[in-house]
Amino acid sequence: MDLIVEDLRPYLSARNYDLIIGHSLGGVTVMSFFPHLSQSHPTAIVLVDPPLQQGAERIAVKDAIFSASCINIKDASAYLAENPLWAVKDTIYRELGTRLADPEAVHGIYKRNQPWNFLHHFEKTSTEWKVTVLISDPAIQQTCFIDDLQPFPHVRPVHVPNAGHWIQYEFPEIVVEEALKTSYVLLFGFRLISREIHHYSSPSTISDPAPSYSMSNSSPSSPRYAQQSTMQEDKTPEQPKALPWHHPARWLNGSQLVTRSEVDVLLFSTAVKLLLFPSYHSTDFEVHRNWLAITYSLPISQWYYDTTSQWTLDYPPFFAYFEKLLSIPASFIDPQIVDLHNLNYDAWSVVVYQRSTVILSEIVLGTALLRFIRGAVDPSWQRVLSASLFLHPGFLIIDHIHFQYNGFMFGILLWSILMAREGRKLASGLLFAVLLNFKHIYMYLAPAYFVYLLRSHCMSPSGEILPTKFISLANAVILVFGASLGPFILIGQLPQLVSRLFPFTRGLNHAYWAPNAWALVTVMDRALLQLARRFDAGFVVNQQGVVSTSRGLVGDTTFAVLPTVKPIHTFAITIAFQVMFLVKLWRTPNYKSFLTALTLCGYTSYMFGWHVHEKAILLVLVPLSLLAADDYAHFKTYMIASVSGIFSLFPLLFTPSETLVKIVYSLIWGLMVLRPLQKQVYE
Amino acid sequence: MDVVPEDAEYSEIFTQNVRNRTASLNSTSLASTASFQNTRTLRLRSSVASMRGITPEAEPAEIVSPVPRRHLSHTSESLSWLKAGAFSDVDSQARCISPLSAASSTPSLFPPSSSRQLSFSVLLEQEKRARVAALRRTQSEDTMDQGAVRRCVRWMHKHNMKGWVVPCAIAASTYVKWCIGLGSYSGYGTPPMFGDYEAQRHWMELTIHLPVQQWYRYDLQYWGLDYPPLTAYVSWICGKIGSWIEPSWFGLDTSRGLETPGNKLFMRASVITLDALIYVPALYAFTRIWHATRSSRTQHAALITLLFHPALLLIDFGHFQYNSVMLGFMLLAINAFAVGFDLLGAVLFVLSLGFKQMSLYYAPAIGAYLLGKCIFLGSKKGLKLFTRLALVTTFSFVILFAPFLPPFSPMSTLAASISRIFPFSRGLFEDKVANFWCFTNVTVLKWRRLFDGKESLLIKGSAVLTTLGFFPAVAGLLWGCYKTQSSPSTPTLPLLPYALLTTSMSFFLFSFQVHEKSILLPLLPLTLLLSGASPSEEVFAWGTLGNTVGVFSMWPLLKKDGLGIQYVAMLLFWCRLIGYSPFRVQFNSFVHLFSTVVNMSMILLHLLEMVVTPPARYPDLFPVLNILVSTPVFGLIWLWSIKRGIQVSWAIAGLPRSRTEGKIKLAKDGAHDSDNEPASTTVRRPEVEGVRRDAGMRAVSLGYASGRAVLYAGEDWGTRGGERWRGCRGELGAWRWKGLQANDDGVVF
Repeated sequence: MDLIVEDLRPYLSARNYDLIIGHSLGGVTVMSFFPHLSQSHPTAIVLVDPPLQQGAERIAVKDAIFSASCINIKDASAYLAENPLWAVKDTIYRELGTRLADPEAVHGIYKRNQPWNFLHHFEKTSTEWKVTVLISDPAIQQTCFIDDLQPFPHVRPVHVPNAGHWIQYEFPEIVVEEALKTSYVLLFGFRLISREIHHYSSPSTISDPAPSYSMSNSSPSSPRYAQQSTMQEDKTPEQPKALPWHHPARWLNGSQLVTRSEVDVLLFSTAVKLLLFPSYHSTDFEVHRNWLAITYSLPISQWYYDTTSQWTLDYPPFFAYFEKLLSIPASFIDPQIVDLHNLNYDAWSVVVYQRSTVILSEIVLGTALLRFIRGAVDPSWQRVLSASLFLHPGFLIIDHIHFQYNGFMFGILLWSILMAREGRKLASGLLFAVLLNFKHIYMYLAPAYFVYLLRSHCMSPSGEILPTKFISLANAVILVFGASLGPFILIGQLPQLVSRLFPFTRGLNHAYWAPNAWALVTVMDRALLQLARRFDAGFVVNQQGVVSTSRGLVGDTTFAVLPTVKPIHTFAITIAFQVMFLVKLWRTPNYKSFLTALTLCGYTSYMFGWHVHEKAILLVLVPLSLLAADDYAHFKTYMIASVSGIFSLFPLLFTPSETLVKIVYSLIWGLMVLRPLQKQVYE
Repeated sequence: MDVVPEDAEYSEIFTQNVRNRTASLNSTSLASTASFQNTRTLRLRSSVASMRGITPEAEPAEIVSPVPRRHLSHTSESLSWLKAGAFSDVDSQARCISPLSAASSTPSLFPPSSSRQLSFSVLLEQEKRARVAALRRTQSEDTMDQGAVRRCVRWMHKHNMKGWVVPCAIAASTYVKWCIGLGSYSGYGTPPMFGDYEAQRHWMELTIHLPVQQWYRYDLQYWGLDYPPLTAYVSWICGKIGSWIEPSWFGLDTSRGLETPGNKLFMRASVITLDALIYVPALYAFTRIWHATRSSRTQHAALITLLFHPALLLIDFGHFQYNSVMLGFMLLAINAFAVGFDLLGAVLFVLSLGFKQMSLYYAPAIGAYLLGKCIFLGSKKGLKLFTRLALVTTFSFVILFAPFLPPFSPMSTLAASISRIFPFSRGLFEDKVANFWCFTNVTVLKWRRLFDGKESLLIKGSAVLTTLGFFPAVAGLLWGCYKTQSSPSTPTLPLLPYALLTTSMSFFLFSFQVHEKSILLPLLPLTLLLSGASPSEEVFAWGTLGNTVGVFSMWPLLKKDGLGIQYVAMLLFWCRLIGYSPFRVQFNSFVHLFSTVVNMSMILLHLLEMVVTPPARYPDLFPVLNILVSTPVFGLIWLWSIKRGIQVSWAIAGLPRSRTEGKIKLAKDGAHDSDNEPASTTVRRPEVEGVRRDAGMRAVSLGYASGRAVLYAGEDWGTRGGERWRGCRGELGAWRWKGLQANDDGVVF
């Protein structure tokens, strides 16, 4: 690099430039030039997607590519064919360049700069310079990373969504705009908020007159990404070949926003779920119907006190609001649905209504999964994973037969994870807070969220706390909890609410034992009891425990031989195990380790938690699914966890009619998901 | 664009494009020209490029920055820029134009002297890409309607699961069948008579408790047995197994109206088991035998299309009947015919008849096929085959009815069963059925009132009409065999599905005592023809239309059974599976126009039914409207099947002209028929035979006859180059070319 700088020096040091723009390697070259630039001349420097820091293997790959391109020279038309956005001029220069270049020299650039890291140049910038770095969309091109720039507050990163490495071809006006802006700052001296990462919103539709990109709000107190609506952006990256407006496909089936295979998955799953309407439904169906009735016919102050039915409301307030919302159309369809005293009502109308709401609420899940595909590194595999989640036998068994709203909740969770992937951590935290107020079982995952958001959002990489971010996050979370719990705090019902939400009296094991550590312990206790009876080995036998040990009843589990386990014990064990990998998450707070931590948090809580339902296995399977295609180890874990997890859900459906349904569906699902994934991870 | 543009226009377009190219590949004018004149323009340009150089005026006057667009890796094809559909005028006006570049005087990038070579290669490249893009566009339009089944099969094949497609498809179809079975059934909770479910259960009860002599006589008012003996035997087996599990399910008289979940489970399981034992293997064999020449993907896709056939699934697994057994035997029979086991086929067809007399709808076609084969084989061999067939058929009937025949029971038992099986006393039609009688009864004249007391006349009338209805199919089969007499392989096989469709549809439309469920019989051959067809073919359009309308015509029945959700789900599922959208508006051919109208009226009817309650005077308003929509569709399908039958038999029977005998025979009157005049005496007979021989299995394949016709015609055309074959080609290939053209024009609006 120094040699290049030496070569260029005569050009650059001959006079002072006001604006220097460097793209890719040129950007790095400009940085290497920093020591030779005039420290006093105000210079605007725009670096377009420079490879600031790259791993050894990536460099090796690039080395191979560029060296090869100098040996097997392609002519200009070939480049034109490959890169339709290039001007003819560029292709000619490219060909000329490859013809002139010595492969050894190209190789040398990579070899001499090991390790590839030019970040240190930013430490030596003059105060007279303004540096802007344009960063391509990480989903498309991973050359330059926003996180690398965090230690340098004077460098202004600008993230250009939907841009590849060649930002100047794809979004030339953004490059020009940023160059002008950087120069303006120098000329007129007004400061842009320095730590603001600017997001260009992607052009929303083809017919959008201007590729409008909005600068994010410069008021420091407002949440950074608040004004970026999440839903609106949903499907934009996968813009279709534009059809003329009069094309009926545009307004009749509109299937162009999503690929046909995605519509297939949606329609097939819907058809299958419709067919399951008359299938068996558990008491949870009546539970939810009762909640519709409670929220519809009682004032809010009575919600958590009502005991007309034995199925009292024991979900957090957002879910109660959700039920309230659902109860309004229900009252039009069949007023008997929302009749509080009409217990165990399961006419066809209420079955259809409740089951349809489950299907409809799964839209949240569907959109989140679609969006996962859109930004993925390898969309085709993410599509398989997304489809596998959307069609997960767990959801089918629990939601569409047994009856619950897990698809909807996990949809919110996936939205939150998605926001974390896109680096919008405030939104991620906000959504998770919302989710917690829908169903508090997601507290299992809270430690991972807490650590991740604290470390990666509220602190700089070097470990300093960023108070504004911390406060904004805290405010957002408090706001959500306020909206949820506020009314109940105001009328002084918080203790009642908490006692409903956390029924520690329910016992160590759920009525159906979840296959976790405590199930093993309980079995061991029974075995020891038998031993004690037969051999009189001197165990102290607790007589209460002999008769108890949960036999399908909701109640306390008392061991006969082993010491009785209290909630605090399970809590301590869970936390102890979680700390192990949370430390790792603290050290490397990136998306991947966050996902891993989520999975493990769910896993630990499932294994050691108090009164765990077997349905909670989904808390493990869902985040793990997102990692399944990464490598063979992850895939193997995923395979074992999925197979055993789904198998553990089978006892939920004990009626003979549903036996075939659950087994055949799970087998087909397993085959269609695991086989291609296995092949892919092998490759 | 048939008129060749003036030279000036050439150069203008050319100049414009060169400017675009040199300035920026994405600038405005290219966008507009490329999008609106796409391929043709590019082709023009390149052809001129070879003649002229690049004019100096083509120099860029300005450097226009590219219009921003989404990233290429987000598009499925990186060449999509050429189509340039993504640009709108508004968009291009909004792009940034660098103020500096407007006055720029940089030297031309393409000085005329040196540019030719490079620009030519660039242009060639662009031409190539334009072609690729055009090709892709047509391809993508084709794949647009490919249907989920093709996508799914392709995906599975790609991901190393080729061997799993069939097991998966069967498992998935079993799953769907079972899920349909979770719902309600015919006559659920409607005492005292209940419905078909109770009838089947009652027969099981009846057969296990009573002697054979009583089967067709016991308490006829309460669901007396009115199906042929095989149904009774199957009921007996099921009843035995069932009462071994739980005796109370089939207690004589005590179990009437039994509706326990366990019994339901058992009955549903019995349908699924029989279906899996007979119908599913028959379908698999069908795809292997009749689609033997097609790719394994097509075979798999065809299998899935057939497995999820919505009408049958809804009736058998929802409404509750055992039609799949009868249809399965029939399918096995035609499979046996296709591989040359005519006697086995005959036995299987007798089994089908023995399960449900409804299978008679197919009998004329099957009979004509077998008779045709006898004719085809010539007097000696044919007579032998005929005798064998007659013996075997009679013998199997005798075995089937053995318990009702004299040594075991008095003759009156047989008479009782026959009178039960063919109930002419029940009237012209029972419920509202979408056939000719009911349709005309509503629209034209009241048959019942007109022929009051003259029922026998009506029966005769309907018999005559039915015969007329299936006559073309039978005649086609026989004539085809006669014409192709003593050619190496039986050629009339491709005609068989069409003949089955024609006969069964004519029975459905014109015969006596038709149930709405009987539409399943014509739908099966229709779906067989549809399976493996690509969405642009005519048979696809008719097949999908027939199937959706077939399901729709059963809507009143399904609604009564409480299977509304299943109806919606299955239609949705199957239409998506085969890539048929009832909401698509198409006007480019008669069948598309017709389906659009029919689909619209079906949707409208459903919407109306949801909103409007029928007036008290016409409680059957919606079933009647249903018939008014459905009957014309069935009638047209019947006519279409006749037309197709004639076409196919023409293609088959027309062929032997190229053989020596045919030529010699034709040579006599060839003088005044120049079109059919024999080419020459140097006919390459061995070659023709060779083609036929290696065809072997291919001759069986659906739609092969048509392909072969064109092949022959084309071959002769090419090798001999004789004008005289033009006529032949025109004749034989006309409808096929027409079909192809329809594909080309088949633009989706």
